[in-house]
Amino acid sequence: MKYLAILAAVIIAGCDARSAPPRVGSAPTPHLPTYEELVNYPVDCSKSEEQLFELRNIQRFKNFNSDIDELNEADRAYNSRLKATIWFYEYGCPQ
Amino acid sequence: MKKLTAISLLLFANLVHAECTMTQYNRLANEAVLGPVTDLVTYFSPGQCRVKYNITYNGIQQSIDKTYQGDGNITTACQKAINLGRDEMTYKFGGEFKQETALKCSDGDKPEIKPLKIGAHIMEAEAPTVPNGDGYFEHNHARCRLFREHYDQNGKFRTAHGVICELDNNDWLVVDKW
Repeated sequence: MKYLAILAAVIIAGCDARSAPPRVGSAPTPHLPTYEELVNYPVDCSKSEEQLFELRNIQRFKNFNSDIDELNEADRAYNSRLKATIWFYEYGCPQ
Repeated sequence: MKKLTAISLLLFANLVHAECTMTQYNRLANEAVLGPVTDLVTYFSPGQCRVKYNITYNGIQQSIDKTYQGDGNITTACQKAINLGRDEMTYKFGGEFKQETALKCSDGDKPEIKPLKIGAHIMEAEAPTVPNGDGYFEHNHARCRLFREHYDQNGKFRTAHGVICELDNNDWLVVDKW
């Protein structure tokens, strides 16, 4: 009886695994600030770790072309502001 | 040494941005510094002419005493004697070459300015500094600094910022640009 129960559980689990839709982009969508919000981003060196994590998540999600001359005007401006904010922690905050 | 390196970098940067070519050539300096014949005394007899004269070379006066043997009247024979003396001076001081460098830049066409690209290896002077920039900072244990460049993109005036970091041997890497 025990063996039957285990076998049934395995079969059900297998069916579930086969029928489950493929997982795509499992990471949650970060909050995407507007350009104006980015301009007013409250940079705080004491919170650099969490703020950088947030900003890099936005960067990963946006996935802008690294060649800025290939971007349209809006993306170029957004990318510029985003990168400038990220780099500020490197040169603007005490190491 | 540092100054020399800095000057070299600036020169290189100018060459890169101005689309200039540098040509080096050697010039025999003797002709330019051989002075005129002075105090000429000629002794002519048929079949030969002896000349005595002074000539300056590099500002130093040299006395020449030369005889030409051969056919000719007083003018041609004595001129040949003078030339023998001048030639001797040239041989004597021959091998003094002056190396000169000529810098040619295109003055009619617009110089082509190529914007920096992420991942490019450059010399530091190729990346313009940011006015009132805070100088160098550390990133991943490397010395880095910001740069700012202005360029034309299909008729559009562009300004871009970026970061370069120092690798080894005066080599700099364009790490990021925005």
